[in-house]
Amino acid sequence: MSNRSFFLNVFEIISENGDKLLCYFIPQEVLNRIGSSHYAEIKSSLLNKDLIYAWINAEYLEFKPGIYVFSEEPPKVPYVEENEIDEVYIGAKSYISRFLLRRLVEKKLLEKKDELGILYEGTRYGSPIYLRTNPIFVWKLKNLPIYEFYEEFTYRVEHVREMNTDRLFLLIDRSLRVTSKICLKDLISALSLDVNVLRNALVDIRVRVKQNDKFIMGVLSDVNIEQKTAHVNFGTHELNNVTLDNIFLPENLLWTARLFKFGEIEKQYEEMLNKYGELTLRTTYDQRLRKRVKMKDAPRRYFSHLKDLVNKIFQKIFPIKFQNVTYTLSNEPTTLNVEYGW
Amino acid sequence: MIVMNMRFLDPTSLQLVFKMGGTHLFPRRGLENYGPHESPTGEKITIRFVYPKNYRTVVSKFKNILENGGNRFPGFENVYRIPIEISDDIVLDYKDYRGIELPKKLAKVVEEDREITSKPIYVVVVHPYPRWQKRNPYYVFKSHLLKCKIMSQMIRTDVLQGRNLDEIAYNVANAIFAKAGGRPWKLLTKIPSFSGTADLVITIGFGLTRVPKDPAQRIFDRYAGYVIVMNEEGIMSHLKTFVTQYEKTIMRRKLIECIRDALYSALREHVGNIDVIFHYSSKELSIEEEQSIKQLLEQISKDQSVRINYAIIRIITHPLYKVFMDTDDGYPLMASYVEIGDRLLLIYTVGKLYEKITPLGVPRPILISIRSSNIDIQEIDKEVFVYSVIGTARMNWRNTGIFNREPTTIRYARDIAYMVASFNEIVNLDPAYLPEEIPWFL
Repeated sequence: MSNRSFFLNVFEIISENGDKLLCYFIPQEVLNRIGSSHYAEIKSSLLNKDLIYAWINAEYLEFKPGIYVFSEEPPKVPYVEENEIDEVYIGAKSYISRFLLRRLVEKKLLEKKDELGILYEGTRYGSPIYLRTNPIFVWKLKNLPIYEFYEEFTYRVEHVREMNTDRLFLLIDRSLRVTSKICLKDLISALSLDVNVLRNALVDIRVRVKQNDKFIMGVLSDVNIEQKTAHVNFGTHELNNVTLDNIFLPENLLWTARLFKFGEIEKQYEEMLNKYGELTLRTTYDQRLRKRVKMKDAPRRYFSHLKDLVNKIFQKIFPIKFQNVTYTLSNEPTTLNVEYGW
Repeated sequence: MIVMNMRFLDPTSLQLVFKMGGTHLFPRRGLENYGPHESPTGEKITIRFVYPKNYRTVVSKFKNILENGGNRFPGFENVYRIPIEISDDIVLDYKDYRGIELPKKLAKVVEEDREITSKPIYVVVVHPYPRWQKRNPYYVFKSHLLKCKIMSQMIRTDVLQGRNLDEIAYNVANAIFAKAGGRPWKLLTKIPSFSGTADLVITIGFGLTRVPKDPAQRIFDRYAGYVIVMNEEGIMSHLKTFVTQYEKTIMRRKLIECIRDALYSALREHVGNIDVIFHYSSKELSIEEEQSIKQLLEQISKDQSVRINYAIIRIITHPLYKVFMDTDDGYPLMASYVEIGDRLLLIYTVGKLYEKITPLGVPRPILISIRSSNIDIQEIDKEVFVYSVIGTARMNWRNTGIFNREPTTIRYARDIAYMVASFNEIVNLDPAYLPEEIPWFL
């Protein structure tokens, strides 16, 4: 085992041309004097001026609690007097710089989103989520797109202090996003589904219902083909006449298995599941056994996709310059040193 | 540049103990070779099936496998060394799954069963409603049955239809056995002392969840939480749940009350020095909550004249980190971990174990953050925390497979929260009424 190398999905951010950054510090004592009811106003004032800041509530490493504003001149902050702001120089790879890098990476990604073919999708567990706009695969039935598969990625900037040396890393993760844009009305007419197939397939499963341009989750409790409506249970209430053009398939395609498991469609559905298994790195189709089997090299494939993502997206936004410092991104993931425990 | 270390626990330390001290790394092989670690009292386990009428065929197949075995499951009695008796089924119409009351014909049978000393365990087939749905049949049936002190095992219709029935039967059988009061296995390597001085080590898992007023909304009206105690051998010895109004002070008081009960339930005579490892996930712990836990521990320490060494650990179940090995398959090894700085540990509870690999996809690690301790971080044996996570992950009696990703201390945090909140709403079931020593939530 000692001859083996282990890697983490983190890429080191290297700083050049300078090791200090100028920023302005508003101590917690000043913020306490102002009172928490004004904090939102302070935040929006900084955001409106497009200033990058780190707001820390507790002392961490050598940093005192308060707001660190990255600016080349003293910022004007509501309720804060000029003499209450201290000019400080912090390490270009310090814990506070982590917040700066996170925002700089985000800004660059948004600036270049069209060129890179990405779309910002919000946050999950506090990390930004981006979608690559070209689908990897689209499953169609009778030329109607049923499910679309996209590559999705997220990142965090991490700080590690080891032996008094600060390091910054870009932690990158990728996954697959499946979406469905087809409504039940179109699906039923395209596939000529009868009410029994539909009831058997969809009653008591989760569906997405469009209400005021938003999707909400509900459970289908019955379908009325003649009236093109359905009963949907939303937990606290039931809507009896939701039109089928406002009901969309769940994004978990395994829940709709019964909808596609009949006649000619079943074969195509199985082929789609083969593709789904490959793309999610879960299963692969064994030609000899003629069935899907567990993928035996999923981490290796994942890692190869990840490197591709780093080259095609993240290397395109680096180097990033801020004040006198130039940040570059390592091409290689971080290697781990191997030791033995118990 | 090498900046982080990866370490491994010896896989033999992960063995489980079965009947008469027989040991095995894999739960199923251990159960089949030796039988379960501890059997429930009574000569048999009675089971009653409840299901929608259009699932009669698949349930019939499932019952047959549960009783007589199949390709991979040798049958309940062969595995657990105790016979089962299957009572008459209750077959329901799909409309019977709609309300918040038990359907009449089921209610009648439940009334009779609640009077029996050795109550049957109900296996109820339910549709896969979302967890946030308050009137989810899962909650409706389970709450009514628990109110009558009847244990139940739910099986979702999609599970019953979509996968291998042998696999499902094995897992369901194990959960039924545990709910009947049996203990399928325990850890061979006891969770050691992280302070290096304790006579007793306990792991306490707790969770706090904000319960939304309406499904999928961000308006919350209650807190639901739980405190679970696991002993050094990974066996659950105490479980307390609660639901409070959406008010932080009230919730904090209730949490502290439950942790106090949990600690008193674990204290033994002649123990002067105790290590308590707290695992938590779900809602982040506030400074006030953390402070209240510290004050409680200091108070108990003073009142009971025991030294309490504690460590509060946050468990992050969805970290972005992943580890790869430069082999043909790339799999990281189970029971390996990476120290990221002083306080973060990335742990693989799944991965490659000898030639076995974790089922389907890229293995995901667990990240733990050592939030606080009354022992200096440099003095702590952090590998104990790694083992407390891997060990308690191996103690999930809902799964008889080789791998369980999340520690049982936090695995059911959100499920328990949503369950107790719904129980309270549906049948006004007070969480204090729920069993404290039986894993009813599996």
